[in-house]
Amino acid sequence: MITDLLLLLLSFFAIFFAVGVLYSREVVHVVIYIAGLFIDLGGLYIVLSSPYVGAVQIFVYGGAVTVLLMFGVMLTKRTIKEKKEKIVTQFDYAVIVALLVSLYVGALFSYTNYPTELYYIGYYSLSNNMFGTYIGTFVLLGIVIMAAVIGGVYIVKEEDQL
Amino acid sequence: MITVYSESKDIVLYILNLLHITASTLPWYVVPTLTSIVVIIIAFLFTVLNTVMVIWVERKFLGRFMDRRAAMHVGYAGLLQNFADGIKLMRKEFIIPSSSDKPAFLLSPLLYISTTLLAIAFLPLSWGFYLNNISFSLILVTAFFSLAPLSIFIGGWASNNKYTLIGGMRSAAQMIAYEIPMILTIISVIILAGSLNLTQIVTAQYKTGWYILPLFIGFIVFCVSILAEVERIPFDLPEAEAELVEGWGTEYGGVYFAFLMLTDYLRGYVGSALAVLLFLGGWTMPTYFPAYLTAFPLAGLIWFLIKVYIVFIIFVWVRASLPRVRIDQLLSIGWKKLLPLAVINLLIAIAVVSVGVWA
Amino acid sequence: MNEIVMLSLSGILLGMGLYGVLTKKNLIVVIASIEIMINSAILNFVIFSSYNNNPSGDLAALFFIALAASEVAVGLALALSIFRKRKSVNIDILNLLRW
Repeated sequence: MITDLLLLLLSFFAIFFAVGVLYSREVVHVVIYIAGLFIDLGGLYIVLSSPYVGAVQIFVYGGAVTVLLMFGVMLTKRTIKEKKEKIVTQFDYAVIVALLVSLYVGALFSYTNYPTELYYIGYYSLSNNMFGTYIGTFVLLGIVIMAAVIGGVYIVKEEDQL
Repeated sequence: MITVYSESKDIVLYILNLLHITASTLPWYVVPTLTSIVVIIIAFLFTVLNTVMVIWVERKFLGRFMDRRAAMHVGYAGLLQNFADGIKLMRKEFIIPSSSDKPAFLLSPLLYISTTLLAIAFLPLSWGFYLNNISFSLILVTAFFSLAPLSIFIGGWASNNKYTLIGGMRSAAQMIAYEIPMILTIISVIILAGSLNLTQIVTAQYKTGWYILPLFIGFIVFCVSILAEVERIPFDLPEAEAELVEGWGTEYGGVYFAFLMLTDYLRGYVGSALAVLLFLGGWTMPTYFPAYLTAFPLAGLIWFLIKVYIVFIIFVWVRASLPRVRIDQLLSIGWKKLLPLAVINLLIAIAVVSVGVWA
Repeated sequence: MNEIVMLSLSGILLGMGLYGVLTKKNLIVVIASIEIMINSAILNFVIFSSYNNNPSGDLAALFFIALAASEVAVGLALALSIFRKRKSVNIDILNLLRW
C-alpha cells in the first residue's frame, strides 16, 4: 500500500514538472523543472523495483545531462536575465497531441488482464546479460559514445584550436 | 541505527503510556511513524554535531600549522566557538537582491544541503548502526553526491551578478571533471569486494585486509578527487577568498550562508567517511584489542570516527601547505593526469582478483 | 498500482514532450522536450520489465540512458555552433533549406 501511495505521488509530481517545462517564461526555469523531472523519474524507477537503473538515471541524467543543458542555456544567452515573454497558446497543436495521447491510452485499455505484482530485478541478472549475451551491443555503445564525444568537440572548436 | 530504533520505540511507548494511551487503540501507522521521526532527529543531530566537531578540528590544526593558536576563548579550548558563529549568523539580516530571481535564489542552497543529507543517510557507521542497509547503497551515495553542480549553477545564476555566474560555471565544471576518477576508483574497490553494499565491503576488508594495500594509487586518486569535489585548497579557485569574494555564494547572507558553510564541511565529512569505509577498513579493529573494548557497536563507532578525523587532519595538512591551482591547470590535472592513473588502478584491481590473492 | 496506470503516465509524458517540440521557439527548450520524450520511452521499458519479471527491459533502459546522454551532447554542440554563426537560437532563423 505504501508503494501504491509513493507511485501516485511521484506520478503527480512528474506531471507537475512537465507542465512547468511547457509553461514557464524563462529558459533557466525550464532547465530547473526538467532536472526535477529527471530526479523524480529516478525515484520512480527505484520504487518500481529496478534500483540500479534508478541510481544510474539520477547519476547520468540529474548529474550530467542537466549540467550540459545549463551550459547550453548559459552560452547562448545575451544577457543574464532576459525580458519575460508572453505565453502564446497554440490550440491546433494541442488538439493534435491530445488526440494522439488519447488514442494511445485508449488502446491500452483494450487489453483486460494486466499484472499487478512488482518483481525485484537484481543486478546479477543484469550483469550476466550485459557481459554475456549482449556484449556486442555493449562494445558498440562504447564506440557510439566515443564518436559522439569526438564529433561534438570537433563541431564546437574554433579556427585555431586543437 | 537498529539499536537506536528499538530504544526510540521504548521512548515513544513510554510517552504514550504517560498520556494513558495504549498503542493497540491507535491506527497501525502511528507508532512506526513516531519512532522513525525520533530516529531521524537523532541521526540528524549526530551528523550536525559531528560536522561542527570537524570544523573545530580544522580551525585548531590550521592555526597550529600557521604557527598561531586558534579558537581559544569560547568554551574550554574553543569547543563552543562554532556554535557561537552559528548563532551569530542566524541573527543576521537575510537580504534578497531585488533584481534576482527569488524562487531560484531561495531554492539553490536548500537543494545543495538536502542532496548532501540524502547521501549521508546511506552511510553505515558501525555494525548495526545504519539508517538503511539496501544492497546498492554505495551507488546511491555517489548519485546523490553528484547532484551538487546543478544547485551551484542555479545559485550562481539566480544572484544576477556576473561574478557569481562565472564562479558557478567554474565550480560546476570542476566538480563534473573530478567525478570520473572518483567513480573509476570506486569501481576498482567494488571489483575487489564483490558487492555494492557498504557493510559487505567493510566485512570483506575484515577478512582479506585493507584495500589501501593493493590500491594505493587508487587511494591517492580518490583523496585528490574528494579535495576537488568539496572545493578545498589547492582546488579552491571557484571560491577564492581573495579574488572572487565567495564565488557562487556571494549574495547569500544570514541563515543561508550558514547552510552553505555547513554543507561544505558536510561534504568533506562524507568524502572522508567514504575514504575510510572503502579503503581503510571502516569500523574493524585490530584483533589484539581486548574483548571488553570491542564487544559493543559503540566501540566500532568511536574507532570509525577516530579514523575519519585522522583522514580529515591529512586534508587540513594539505590545505596548510599547498598554493592554489589555476583553473586551466586544475582541469588539465583532472582529465590528463588523474584519469590514466585511475585506469591503471582499475587494471591492478582486475589483475589482483584474477590471480586470486585478495578475494 | 496496476500496470496500466503507469503506462498511461508514460503516454501522458510523451504527449507533453511532443507539445513542447511542436510549439517552443528556443532551440534548447526543443532539445529538452525531446529528452522528455526519450525519458517516457525508457519509463515504458522499465515498467514492462518490473511487472513481468523480465530483466531485459532493465538492460535496454541502461543502454538507452547512455545513448540519450550522448545525443544531448551532440545536439547542444550543434546549438552552440548555430549561435556562433547566427547570433540567435530562435528556430525561425534555420530557414536556409526552405523554398
